[in-house]
Amino acid sequence: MKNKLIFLIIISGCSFSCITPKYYVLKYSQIQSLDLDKSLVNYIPLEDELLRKSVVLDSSYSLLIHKKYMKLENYVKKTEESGVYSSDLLMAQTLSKITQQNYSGALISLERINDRRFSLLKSLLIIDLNYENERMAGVPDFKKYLLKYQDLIDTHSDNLVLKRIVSLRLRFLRYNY
Amino acid sequence: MLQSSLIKLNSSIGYLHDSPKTNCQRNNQVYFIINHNPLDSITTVSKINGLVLPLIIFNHFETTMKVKLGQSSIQESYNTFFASSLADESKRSGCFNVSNALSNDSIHTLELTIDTCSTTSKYRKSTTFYFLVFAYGWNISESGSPAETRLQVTAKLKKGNSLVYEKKYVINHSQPFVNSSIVNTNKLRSDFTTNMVEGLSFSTKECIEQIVADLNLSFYGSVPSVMQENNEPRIQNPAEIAQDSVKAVQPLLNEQNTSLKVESKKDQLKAGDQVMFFSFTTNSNIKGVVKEIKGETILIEYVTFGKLKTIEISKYDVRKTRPS
Repeated sequence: MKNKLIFLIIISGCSFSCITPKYYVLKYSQIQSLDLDKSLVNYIPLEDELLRKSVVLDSSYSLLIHKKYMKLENYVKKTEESGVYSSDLLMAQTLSKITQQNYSGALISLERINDRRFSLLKSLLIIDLNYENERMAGVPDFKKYLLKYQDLIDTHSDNLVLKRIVSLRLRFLRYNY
Repeated sequence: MLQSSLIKLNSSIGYLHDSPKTNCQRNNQVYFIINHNPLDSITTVSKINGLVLPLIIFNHFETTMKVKLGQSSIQESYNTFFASSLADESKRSGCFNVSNALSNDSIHTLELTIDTCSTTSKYRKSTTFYFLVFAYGWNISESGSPAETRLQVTAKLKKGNSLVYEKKYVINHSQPFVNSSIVNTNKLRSDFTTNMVEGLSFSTKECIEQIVADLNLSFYGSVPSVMQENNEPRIQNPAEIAQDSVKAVQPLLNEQNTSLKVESKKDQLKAGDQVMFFSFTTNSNIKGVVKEIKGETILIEYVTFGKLKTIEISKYDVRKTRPS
């Protein structure tokens, strides 16, 4: 019985660690130094300034980059229970759900954010999450999402990091990953 | 068998326009005429080579095939895609209006002929079978290669019946094959088709951006991001400059992306002067502004395809142009 339990724990542990997120959260300053042309990863950019000013986001970011997804989920829950309720927490919740590939849940959390600091990130993630939700139901329309991303980079034409990130997103769209 | 499988697969063609949007003066009207497209109607597969190793306990078969992209693998019509991408790019970064009809002689006509439009890639299939007395095993694997696109377009800009310029755009693009961990054959073949369509998308993007940049250059002798600052062209019309004698003299080897040769030496230069040199890449004169003089060399800032670049060249190798 004991052996069976250990076996089950090992199997479930393996299966959990095998869920690799499609989206990786990274600071703007770190994305700028990456060679994105050879990358096949979708990045969610977080402004360095935002992380410096928000304890919740900074803690969540640390957990995310160390791939402590379960700990992040618990951290978000505990912070919510403690009565701290803010856009930062909602963003942390969104990111946590994205890493768990709970895209519809992430979209619900994201849509509750009304903070201007997150307006660009929100616009980007709404397109991503709608794409993921549509992808679960079938093959999403490439042209539709191409136009949405085009509008986004045109609205923020000075943001070169965004332009590079969106180019990567498009690769995923094209290959329907 | 591979051909029948690939014919069923198709991918959407398209790309992100990342050129800067301009709001320059659009005094010229251009009417586009796009001539026939030599893209094959269906995707074809031909065998390049094969290998058979028939040993007693080990058999190995390997086949490499050449796949040529056809219209059947593209969801949209390539002709329509080319035309709409050209119109979109013109609206973004072009300093001219796209006319829907050829109405009078004041309208420029850009006649584009797609001479070559070929995207090929290699697909490899290998089968290994091994057996001992009581045991046997086999391994079947398939893999794709980067897609190679060659796109050649001839452009003739006319005003009325007179030819303003004629130029060939040759784009050779290699699109790396995405190495996914997915081993499913259907997904691999689908990705293989998508890779070829992606390569064609990027080649078309590159070609169209060059065409629009050259149209701007021919109308204003400059590119739009320079004009964006004060909303009017800063450099004189190239037709005036063309009256001067121009001799290409020396290739510049120290430029990574743009191979340049420059024109006759002339006036004493100073920072802020407008100068001109010749680019082999765009096969056209490029205008720039002297940023700094460093002894015998000068640093020139110029804009190409919407991007600000700097080049260091000998001060004797540029031709000064009159300020506007």
